[in-house]
Amino acid sequence: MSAVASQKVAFRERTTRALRDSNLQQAMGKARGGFVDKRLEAMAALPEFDETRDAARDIKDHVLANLDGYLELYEQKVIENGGQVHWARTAEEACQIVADICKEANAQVVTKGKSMVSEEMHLNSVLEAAGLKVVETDLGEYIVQLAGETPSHIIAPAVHKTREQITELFHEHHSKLGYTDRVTQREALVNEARSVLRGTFVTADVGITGANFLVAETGANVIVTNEGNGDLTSSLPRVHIVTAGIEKVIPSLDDLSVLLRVLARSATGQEMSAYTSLYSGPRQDTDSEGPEAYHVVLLDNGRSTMLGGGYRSMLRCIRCGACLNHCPVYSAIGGHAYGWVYSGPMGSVLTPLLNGFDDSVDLPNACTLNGRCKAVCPVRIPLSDLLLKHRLEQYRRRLTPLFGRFLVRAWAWVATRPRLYQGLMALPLWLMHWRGHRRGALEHIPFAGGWTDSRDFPTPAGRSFIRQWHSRKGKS
Amino acid sequence: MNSDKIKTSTQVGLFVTCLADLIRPQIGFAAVALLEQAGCTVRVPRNQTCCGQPALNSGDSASTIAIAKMVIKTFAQDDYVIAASGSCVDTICHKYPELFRNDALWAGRARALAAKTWELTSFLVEVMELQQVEATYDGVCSYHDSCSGLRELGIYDQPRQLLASVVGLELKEMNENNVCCGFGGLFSIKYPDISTRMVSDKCANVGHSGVDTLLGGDLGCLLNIAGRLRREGAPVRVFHVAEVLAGMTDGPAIGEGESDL
Amino acid sequence: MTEARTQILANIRSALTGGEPRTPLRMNELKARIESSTPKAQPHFEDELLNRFCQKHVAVHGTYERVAAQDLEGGVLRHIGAHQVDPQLYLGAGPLLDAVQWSDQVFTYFKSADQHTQVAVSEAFAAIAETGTVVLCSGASTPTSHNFLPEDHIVVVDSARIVRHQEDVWTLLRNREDAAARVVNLITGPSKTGDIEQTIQYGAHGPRRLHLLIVELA
Repeated sequence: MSAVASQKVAFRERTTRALRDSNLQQAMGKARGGFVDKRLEAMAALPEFDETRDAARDIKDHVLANLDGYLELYEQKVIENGGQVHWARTAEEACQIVADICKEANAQVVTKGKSMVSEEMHLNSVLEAAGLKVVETDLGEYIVQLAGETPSHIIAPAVHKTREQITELFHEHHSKLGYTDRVTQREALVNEARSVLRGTFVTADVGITGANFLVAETGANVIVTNEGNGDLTSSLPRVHIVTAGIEKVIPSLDDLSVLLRVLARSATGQEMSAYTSLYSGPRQDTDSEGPEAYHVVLLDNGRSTMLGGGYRSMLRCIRCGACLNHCPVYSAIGGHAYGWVYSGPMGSVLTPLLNGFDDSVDLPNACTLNGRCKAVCPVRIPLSDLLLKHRLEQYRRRLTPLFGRFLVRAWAWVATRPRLYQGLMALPLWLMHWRGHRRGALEHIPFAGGWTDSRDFPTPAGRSFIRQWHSRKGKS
Repeated sequence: MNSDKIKTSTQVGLFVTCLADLIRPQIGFAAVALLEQAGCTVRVPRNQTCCGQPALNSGDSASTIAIAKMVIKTFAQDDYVIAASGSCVDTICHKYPELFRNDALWAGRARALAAKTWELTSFLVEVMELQQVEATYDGVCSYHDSCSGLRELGIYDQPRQLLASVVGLELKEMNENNVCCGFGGLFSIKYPDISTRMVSDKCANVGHSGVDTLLGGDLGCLLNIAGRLRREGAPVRVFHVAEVLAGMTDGPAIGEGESDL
Repeated sequence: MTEARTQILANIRSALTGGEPRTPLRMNELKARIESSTPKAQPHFEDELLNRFCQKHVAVHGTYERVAAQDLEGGVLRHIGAHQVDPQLYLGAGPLLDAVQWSDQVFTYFKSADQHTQVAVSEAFAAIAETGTVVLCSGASTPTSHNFLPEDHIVVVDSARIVRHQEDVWTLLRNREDAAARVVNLITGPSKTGDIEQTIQYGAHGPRRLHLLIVELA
């Protein structure tokens, strides 16, 4: 109970802080609408978009219903290609596997492409504790790493940072590397990061990337990026490690095409991201370059349990970020307020499932159930329905505050007794009407400060419709 | 449904919705007037309070089920059930059948209720094939599309189609008309900071559109937006779409007082 | 390790089938689905392939020139001349590229790119009209580093290798005589990022410019 209560306070504190953070609000304000408009344009240009979404959903459902089989087929292919597959039940196991591979390779410098699963594992801190230098290479991730933060958006990690903040971060960290000018223009900032990271790319011993998909047909991991950092991370170091959730496997390359058609359109409104790459193993005899070793770490971390319950559809998620981009709550508070790796609607569904119900009570409730997330999801995950499902589950587990549960129950008891309900409502309605009818609205209502601190409350008419109707018409 | 029957006299039960019942009864009268205009016989059963959303959204399925059973029984005899709210209709049409999924007896009853329950404007347009209303409103209006109505029930054109026949009314769309206003029932009280931020954004969009009136199909959203507009001192009037369509706009708008007139 | 594998697979099976193991028959069904895989839900368009490809490539900030096979060096020189780049070319391989007799106006390298590489010239395995994408496969003389390290990436495209949909590339790959390529890069426009203020900047980590030399053989 106390842990729950403290989490609740923490969430409220985080949201309050976020709403007052002028930098965050400025950055989120700039981002707002851009993703939405671009997605709309991309949809308009593909008349088959909805049909493709259905096909994407069906592919994912088929995989999930046969997940063990496809994982085994995928594993076989990776081994045939000369790679190694590691299975991890928990984030800790996965971190240990990666750390061991790095140690065995005598690695000192590790480059990373963007991987939400590695964020879920908190891999960077584990590797750093093992004495490795870990460098994030996606520009957004790099910015966030310099700031000592975590990504606030699954595809736009630094969406919460203003250009001015990035200028200061670069100045602080790059001065010692000889970049003493304070650069302020976007192009110059991008160039400076490019120039700083170049050297790291070519000297890294191990490259770690995520995977957008794992293709059972060929054993390839697929990464989709716009910067090219993921490809440099995959192809230049001696060792390539892929971290991926077990739900990422798909059957064939044809299935990949369907999913790619909805992924970039939903994420950034692009038809294709600049780089879609398939990497299927270590350097072969015929290759002139490429990593000597190729490892895939498959992470479960609660996913196999999700398969069995009513939340299976959440495993369809392809991490496009459309639900974040369309969520008005996310847009108001940003990603960090959610308190864990995944934010927005998909995060509010996933966090309790992967990280425990007890510590994430607020997430499913801090939502108006407006359904925009569900409407835009490329694989048709009923996100808002799953959030409601979480609330039912919280109630069953008695995780929500006792007093609130009691109030709702008492209200419902009265609401199932219409005559009593109508009788009980009469006096407060009349009182509120009497108090506010001249002005039309109340500026303060006892116990409803949450509403009236920032809004007036329109005055009730004084007598309910049912009472007026039945006194006019007689009983029906 | 049987179209001959519709043309002669269609019997409907009015589900008033708790908010309209308690706070703005005029919406109920407007709904009745419109339904009668369209040729319906309207029954308003006394045994009704709320659809149960506050309980459902709080995760209390047992309480929701109790309320849902009452609603199902109350309207068992009606040919159609009409409510002037997208979110209540969504609850009845989509959430009730889900709640009773594992209850053989009640599942059928819930589905039967769902099949005959309609949101007011979509019923008028799609079932009663009402083309126009007899009403006048002198103003430039924007329409806020409430979330459940828009996304779960597909209500977008229906109210606009009817509003187009209101003499003197000009409809002007605002930016982000399909974005949530931050009401969300108990959400607005549990998370007032976030809700306030969302409703402020909504009010800014209303302001930028330059309209003098905001309309919508769900009183919850309208109370929220009107309450915030009023707090900000914005001179925008707020009405439920049914009030405008029924020509009931002589009195105070939502959040207006007698002193404002 | 194997313990984790066994347990994860057992968890999945208990979630899906109540714990029953996969029968060989069901595994064969899954294999058959992969082997008989066909395209699903493809977008329909009737545009002529070369035009569509060029249009889509330009839409993603790419540039191109249609050249004769004999004029490939000319095409390369015109591009690097326009951008005042030193003519030190890291060369890939392919039927068209292999046939070029490079003059002494350029220096050519047949090795992996490094962090100072300015220009690489590759030949596309195929190209996709649907999205304006070029497809590059890794191999003995086609290093992946050429696609990502240079400032300028010049790709030779045989117009006969432009296919309609992405899935057509998979068919070409499946039917390829050489061993399967370890790396397949689908490249759609130059490198870019939107990570600062969600505004697109080109040349994030990969090539700043993607220039195509499209060859139409008779």
